[in-house]
Amino acid sequence: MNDPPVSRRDFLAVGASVGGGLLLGLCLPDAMAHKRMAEKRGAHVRLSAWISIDPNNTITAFVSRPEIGSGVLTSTAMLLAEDLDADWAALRIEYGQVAPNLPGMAFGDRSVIGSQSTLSDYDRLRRVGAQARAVLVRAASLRWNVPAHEIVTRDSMLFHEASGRRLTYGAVAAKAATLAPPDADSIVLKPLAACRLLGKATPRRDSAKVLVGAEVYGIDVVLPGLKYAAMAISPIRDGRIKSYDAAVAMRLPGVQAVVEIAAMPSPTWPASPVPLVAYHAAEPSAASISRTDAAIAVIADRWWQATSALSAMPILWEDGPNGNFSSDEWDSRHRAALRGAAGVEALRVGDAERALIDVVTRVDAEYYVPLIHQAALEPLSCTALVTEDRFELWVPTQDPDRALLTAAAALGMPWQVGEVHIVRSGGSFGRRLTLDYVNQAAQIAQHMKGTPVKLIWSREQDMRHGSYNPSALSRLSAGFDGTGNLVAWRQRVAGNIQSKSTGLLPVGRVYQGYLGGADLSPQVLGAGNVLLDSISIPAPITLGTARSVDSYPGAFFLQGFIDELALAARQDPYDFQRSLLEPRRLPAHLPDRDEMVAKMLRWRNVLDTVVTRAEWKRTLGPGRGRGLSIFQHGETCTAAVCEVRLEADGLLTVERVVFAADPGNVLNPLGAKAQIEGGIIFGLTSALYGRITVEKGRVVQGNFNAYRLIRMNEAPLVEVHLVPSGGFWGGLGEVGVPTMAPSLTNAIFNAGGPRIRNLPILSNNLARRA
Amino acid sequence: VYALKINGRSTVVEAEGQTPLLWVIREWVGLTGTKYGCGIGVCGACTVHLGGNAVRSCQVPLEGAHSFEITTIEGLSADGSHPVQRAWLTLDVAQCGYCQAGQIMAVAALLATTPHPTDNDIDTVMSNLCRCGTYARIRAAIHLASSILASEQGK
Repeated sequence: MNDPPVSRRDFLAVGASVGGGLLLGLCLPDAMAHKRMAEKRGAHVRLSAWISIDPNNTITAFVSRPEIGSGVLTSTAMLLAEDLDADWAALRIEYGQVAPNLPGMAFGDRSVIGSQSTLSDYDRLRRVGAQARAVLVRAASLRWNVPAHEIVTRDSMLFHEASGRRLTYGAVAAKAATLAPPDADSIVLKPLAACRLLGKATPRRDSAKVLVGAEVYGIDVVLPGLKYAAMAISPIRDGRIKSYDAAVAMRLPGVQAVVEIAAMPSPTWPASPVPLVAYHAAEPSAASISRTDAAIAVIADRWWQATSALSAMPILWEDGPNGNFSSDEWDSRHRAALRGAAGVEALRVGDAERALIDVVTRVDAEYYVPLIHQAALEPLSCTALVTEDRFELWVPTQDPDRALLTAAAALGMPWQVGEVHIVRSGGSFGRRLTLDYVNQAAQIAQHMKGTPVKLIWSREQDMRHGSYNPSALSRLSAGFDGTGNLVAWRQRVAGNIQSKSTGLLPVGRVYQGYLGGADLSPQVLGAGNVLLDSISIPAPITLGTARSVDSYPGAFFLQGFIDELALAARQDPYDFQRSLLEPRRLPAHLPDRDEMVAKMLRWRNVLDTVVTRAEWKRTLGPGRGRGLSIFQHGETCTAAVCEVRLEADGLLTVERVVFAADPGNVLNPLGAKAQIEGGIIFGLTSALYGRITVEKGRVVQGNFNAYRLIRMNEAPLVEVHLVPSGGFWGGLGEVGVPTMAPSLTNAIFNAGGPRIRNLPILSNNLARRA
Repeated sequence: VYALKINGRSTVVEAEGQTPLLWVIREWVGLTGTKYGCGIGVCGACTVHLGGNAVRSCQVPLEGAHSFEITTIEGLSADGSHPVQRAWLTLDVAQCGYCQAGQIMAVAALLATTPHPTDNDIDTVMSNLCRCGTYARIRAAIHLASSILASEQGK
């Protein structure tokens, strides 16, 4: 597991495809060993690949990352096709189903997390496409006996214009498969502006199957001899099975077996030899958690039979140590800690505590964000087949490689004898990084050796055994000097970060969102005297990540409070926000000051865009209000204006959202806007309704009637404006979320409603101020 | 044993009469385009047509369904050519896509009775959940499907 980093050169190789054409793919020793092993068993195995070109000119792009709805199948194929000059309309797109991805991780990290897919893949996959094109051109130049530079490529064809000759890629694919590709690093990629696919609005390529019901989601997997499992998990974390009567279930139609699932801790992941995305790199064990509590599963011919038998079967649980845990009490402890002794310091500039004593005007506030559930519409599922010496998984997940490791650990088998088939996820939003369901499915299948078993969670299980986005509180104090300048900012956050054992909130940029993005916020740094710290009290709740993660509480703290400061400064919120984005406000000695100035200019750009588009200064009618906020998630800078109507009795309508984003570059404007539109609805949903609570160790909310999602009639008009400034690849999958809560609460205040500091919004009395 | 007519084809199902139609369609008949989302009739992912009406199949027991013609997403068109499906494709509506079969079935039933729905009609009828938040595109696609239908009927 301690192999040295693998360079692109080491694993990229050309070979012959099954059909005798070109296969540009992976040639790791591990992969070769696995292939030989599989061939010995007579199993069909395809060497993993990025691109294959058959003699009949069928070109296939293999996508290594799972599609959870973010459009990665389309965007990855675009990256592979661009420099290959492949015919986009005829290009086939498949998952690169590869068994031996670990430990060399030839495909690299295959997880979809943190809106990082394009950032991670942009350069390397363009180079793969360029390498494929290079060997095809070389093969054609040998065939035609002309210099390679005289050959032009277009739509999967090679042209020699001087002689009027042309060939398909397929015609030279077999020859190309014998040639060495050029060194990836030697390739000069054309600029984005010169690309024919990248940067152009490109419809998704996976929709046609979806719209006729033919796409196979995890829950739809069917295998010969498949059985179905339904499961009851200990309702309390770390609870135990006291008793159950399997005979009751066994008498019911279709039931095959009743099995116990053992509680298990999360395995430790091996260090990856290839660079992982930020979250993983900082906290390898935090992003994917696969511990499971004790559970009982019923296996039947059909899932409905299994779940019916399970509910008929009496089961008694022992509470264990957490039977009295309450999320309200946990919040109270965090609230007390906000005013207690110092936390772990994250940033200290100047002397904020001293400055707060000297200020002329001081504002203090406490903000709160509850636990949030991802609530993907497809409940969790995993299909597993375990034999004496092998195992296979068909799993909708954001992290196929750790799913493999999770199952291996649960089974006590080496991962090398396992295989993961990536299947589509019906949404995920962070939930399918927590791999408890994979562990459980593996355990169930081990009881049913030789029989594939599909574990399907009920909606109630999905909601009550979640991995929730952490609740968090923040106490903020800021002050102005006699001339109205913001000169002090003191903020503490209390909340649990993404995982169990970490104890204290880590310091630094990875988790900047929890501190209101403030350690990176140019607005806050301009105060000159800044102190940020944090306190974390672990709780018996499985915590994970929901779309935008720490930025959801962070943006609410920062931008809700800045709106309060604008009021205290008697300024229009836009004018105030803009006044905080003056480069001269930044301390001269600030490390990375130039970077921070550049960031300020990007923030100003999205702020001005959204304010112009929303006609910020136009007067609104009575009972109407608008709110503004700005936030940076990852590298993408965003701003949003929400417009609301608020009746005197507090009836709220969100009428319009105007949004601007600077993600640096945009791969697919159509997909980018779709992701932002979706993020906006996700953020509004959390802000209005999102709250998971725990009482007596049990999660209270169990279905969509108790955990509400926005419907069509509540969805506002949404306008998304992309203002890419170039030079970097910010993410897009999450960036719609963070500004929604503050823009909305600021709008409610502006409409004459209360100042909301506790989410969800609809837990507050919204009646207009007298 | 129940005889069902699904997507114009007769089939015989051996299941308990209380089994929800959703699970009969998915696991006995083997048509997995109809999705399980909540099991309590809230989310609409399981929407099918029963005698031409959009229903939440998780709330319909097999014994109450067998005398009706049932249409699932697989039976809406042979090839995705139904105006609603074409509108969805044109406007790139689907993200994860899990709810979209239910959305499309709900819209197909809506347009059958209300060929030119207003935004208000859409707000009233369309209660299906979409966690990816594609509502704005769904709304636009409903209007597009409506105009496709009108132009085809005009021919």
